[in-house]
Amino acid sequence: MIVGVDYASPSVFRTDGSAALLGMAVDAARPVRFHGRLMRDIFLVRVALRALGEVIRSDETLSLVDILDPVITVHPDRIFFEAFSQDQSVYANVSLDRDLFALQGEMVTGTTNVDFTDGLSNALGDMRSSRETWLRIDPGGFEVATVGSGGHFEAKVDVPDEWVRGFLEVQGAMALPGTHLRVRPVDLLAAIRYLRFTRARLSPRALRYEMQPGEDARIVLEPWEHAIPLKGAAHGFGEPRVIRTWGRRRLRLLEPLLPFADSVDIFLKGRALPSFYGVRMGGLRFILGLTGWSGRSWSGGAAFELLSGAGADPAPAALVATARQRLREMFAASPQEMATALAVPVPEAARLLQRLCRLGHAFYDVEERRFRHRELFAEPIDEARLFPPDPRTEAARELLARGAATVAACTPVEKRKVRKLPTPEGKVAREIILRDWEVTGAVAGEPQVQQVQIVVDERGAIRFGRCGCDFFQDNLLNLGPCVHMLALYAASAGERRDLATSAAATEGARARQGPPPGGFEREEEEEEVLEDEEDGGGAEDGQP
Amino acid sequence: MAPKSSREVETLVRSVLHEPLEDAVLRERLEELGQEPAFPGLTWLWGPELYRRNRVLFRPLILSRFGTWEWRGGWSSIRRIEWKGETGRILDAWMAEADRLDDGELFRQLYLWKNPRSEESWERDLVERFRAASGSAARLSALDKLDLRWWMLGQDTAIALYETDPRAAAPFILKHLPERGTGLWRDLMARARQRGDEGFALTLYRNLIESRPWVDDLRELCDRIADPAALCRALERHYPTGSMWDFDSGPGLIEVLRRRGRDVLPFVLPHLWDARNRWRLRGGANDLLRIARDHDWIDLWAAVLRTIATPDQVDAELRQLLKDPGRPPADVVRRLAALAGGGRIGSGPRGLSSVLTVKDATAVLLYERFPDLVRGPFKSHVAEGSPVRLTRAAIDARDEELVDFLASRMATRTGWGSGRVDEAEPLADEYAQLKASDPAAFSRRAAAVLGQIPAFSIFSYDRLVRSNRLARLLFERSAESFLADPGMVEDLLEAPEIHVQALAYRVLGLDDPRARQLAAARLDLLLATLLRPLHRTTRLLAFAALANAARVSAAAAARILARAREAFDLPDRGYPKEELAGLLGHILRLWPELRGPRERPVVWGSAA
Repeated sequence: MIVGVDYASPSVFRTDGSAALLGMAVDAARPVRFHGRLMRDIFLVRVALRALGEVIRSDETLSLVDILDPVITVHPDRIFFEAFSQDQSVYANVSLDRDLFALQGEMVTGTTNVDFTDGLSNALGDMRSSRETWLRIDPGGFEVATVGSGGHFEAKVDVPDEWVRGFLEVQGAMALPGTHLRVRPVDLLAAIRYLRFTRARLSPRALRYEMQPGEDARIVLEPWEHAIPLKGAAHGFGEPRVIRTWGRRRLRLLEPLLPFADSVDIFLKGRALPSFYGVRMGGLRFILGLTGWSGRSWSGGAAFELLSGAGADPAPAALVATARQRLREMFAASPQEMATALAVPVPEAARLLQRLCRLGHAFYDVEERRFRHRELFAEPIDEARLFPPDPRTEAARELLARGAATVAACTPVEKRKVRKLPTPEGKVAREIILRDWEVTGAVAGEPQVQQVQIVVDERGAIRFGRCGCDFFQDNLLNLGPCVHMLALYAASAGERRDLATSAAATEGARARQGPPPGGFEREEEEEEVLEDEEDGGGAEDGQP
Repeated sequence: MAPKSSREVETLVRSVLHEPLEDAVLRERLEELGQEPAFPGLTWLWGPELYRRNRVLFRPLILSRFGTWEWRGGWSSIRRIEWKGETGRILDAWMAEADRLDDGELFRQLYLWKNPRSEESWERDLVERFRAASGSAARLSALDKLDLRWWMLGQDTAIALYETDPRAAAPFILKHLPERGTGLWRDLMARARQRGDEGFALTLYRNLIESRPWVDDLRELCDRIADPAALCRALERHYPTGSMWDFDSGPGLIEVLRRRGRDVLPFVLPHLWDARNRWRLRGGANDLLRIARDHDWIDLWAAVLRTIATPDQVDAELRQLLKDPGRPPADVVRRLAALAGGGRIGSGPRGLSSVLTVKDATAVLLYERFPDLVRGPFKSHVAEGSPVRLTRAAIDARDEELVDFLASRMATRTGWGSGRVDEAEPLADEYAQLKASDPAAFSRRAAAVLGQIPAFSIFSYDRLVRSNRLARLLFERSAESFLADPGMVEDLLEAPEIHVQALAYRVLGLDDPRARQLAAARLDLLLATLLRPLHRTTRLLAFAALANAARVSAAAAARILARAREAFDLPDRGYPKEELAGLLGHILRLWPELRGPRERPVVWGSAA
């Protein structure tokens, strides 16, 4: 997808002994203006914007594809900065209360791209509370003679479709129903620090939220089964509930913020689905969204579509256009407010708002639980190209709706091995339990599909499968799972429970443990090396 | 327990296989035996048997314990198991079965075992199997079975595959292309174009093209396409991809500039960074600078100097510009501003740009003519080398802003790779004199210097204060003087460098009423030190500051208590929890009303 940006000058951070200006150059084609003096929380603004810069930089794949510059949205009550990482796994949203500022001149609301380079992110380190600090968002650019140069910059950025799709799907996922926990910053920090001191390359490596009735929620770190109580985190569940999330190392992006945070809200959307962490600091909020599935996994996209219901039953285009216009006027709306505005039932309004997210016209503010108007692109996206209909997903959805897919058995297949794991207290031996789920079932009304079998690994990817249908016989799994496997996968989601992933190593288990098994070839193939982080224990940071 | 010999394990495996066991029990027994180092070397024995018995159940065990080396009682005495005789016959049958069942992963392992280093036969097998397969799915399966990592195709094989089924073969071919430098596959590209598969042809081109023919192709594009935007798009489509370490893009960029001038700048500027290392080695910036000068293209000139030019070339250009008497000052400023950087043109990915090294004499020349530029966009460039004369000039000119900035760089020098430490001496003299003559001004200036020290620029604090007089003066001998101005301490607290923050904690921990008031006023930042990752020494200084703040009011003490209690939950290694308990005790002694029920002392009296 080709996206044009046109900056009159680079963004600047200019400071002298008594005053500072954060001048954000924005796309001239989408003029948005704001000029105000920061009256408080200057240091927290610096911390939050530098963390946003870290998100933009964070990329575990080390790819250098073009991505969209961060997006800035000015609303009458808040200013939002949004960014999505290059590897499509982290979303960040920094929002500043309007009352942090003493406004100067006219404010032009809207959404645009902002020039936010590494250089600017580093320069923000010079922000100081003692100086009069101004934020100016201006498409006209800034005087460059004394602050750096580069001048006018115009580019057509070929943003990968995958990246755009990931960004939009994260937006949609924010509005999914889920579990909300309000936790103390120190508890989340304790989990991050534990992982900082002890790093396992050994699966399983999920971060598990456990909710027992009548008790506070807790985080369990795998494979150590190390539990961190989330003091005061009420959940309200009447029966035990476990939600497992992956990609926990990305939580380190929050580490510089948490010592300054007032509270943290965690929004869990379900097993292996995206999770969101909202950090409140004075008049700021920082939302970190972590994708819960692997973008490269061939089963991931279909599974997300099926489990989240995204893309199902699209609303009429005319109604979507009306909703978009109303949201533009209202700036923010809950489904109830939109239902009133459009005179439609609340579920219909919710579906419309969800669709606006998918099309890039809105995003969901998880903390306020309202949808915000935000045009991600100047031009409408080509939905047909970005979200091509997947016939197999559609057919699987139909089977599920008819209740045709039935699960006969869903059994865990465990493999155990004793490994020494690093912990802050030294190495401990634990018996690691690697657990796949073997699911068998059938699809009614299709005689050749007498029995469908899938093996789902701990991350929710279909690793193995068998089916009697022609598609499977022709392709095996070379083109991904067949319709029946997908239906069985979704139908068995509730039965694939998250259980403990390690146990204290018994004497028997230890006795069985010999020298490194498998010889040289196997040692090279399997990544079962456990290593301490070299900079772990005594690492000291600079000021964020 | 000592590992068993290969013979012993073989006996055990045979006996387990002969026992009438349930599959699940058998797997468990073999998992146990699988811990023996000799077990993988017996794959030929247990692998085929288990695969035939229940491939769904045993396949993970087979793949995880698959081995082709026999272990003979020590890691130094291993032997590759030959695929011959009776073993070969057993393995041949197993391989045929894996082939029949389209078990790609297992087949690949067996194939590599049988044909360890034979790319020629691999290519032959590929073509034979691919052609023999009926239907697209079967062809995909054939490729999957021989998808051996790192093995490279020849063009003839690639053509044979592509001609048979282009859709199935194209991704496989791209995955197994040879290194650049083995020639362009023009025949295959022509066949792709005949089929209208321009995308595949161009991908082959971009992966295999070498520098010299690439220049010829660019020349042809420049001559053929008149529209500048269309030309840039076409040039972009022909830009090499994949491994670039052996590709010299410089001559191509020069050629397109010569032919089409400014039309192609949108194509050239973003790719200067790619050409950086090779060009720099050859001093290749001269040709581009000549083109930029001849046409007066400031953007190209500045981008070349920032990305490709050597320090000597940068210096020569700067001097020439500054000494040109005929050039209007406004024009010089415009060029210098472009050169200083900060924008995206001529920068690396995401605006990454390098710091220019401006030589001292040139920096002085620049300062004499345009001091604002030296204080502004050039300040990081002039501080990079040895700015001894510039420092002198700034001191003489009483340019506080520049002197403080230069001092912030000199104050981190230890003599280890960061420049000579004796170059900081004039600045040490300057600040020492100031301290003696005007303590208030010294405090203000010292805070300005310390606040500009970049994060992570001090590696050994002890060595720094031992070897650098300026650092000693600023860090060790001025703590109390900062209390004169609360704003200065705040700035130090928010400084990026951790040792500067530590200095601020030391100041706030002083036994002085001003320190106590200041500590209570910035409790928000001090509270964070309880949770931030800090070295023990730094954290103890922060504890002292917190203890000071707690003396000011019960409200401040209550906030500290709440956060300190939370900090006990951190698993940080080396966190001084005893001292944290000491801090808690200190606060509770000061404010007994803040004690919880379990923190109140119980005094036992004698029985009445």
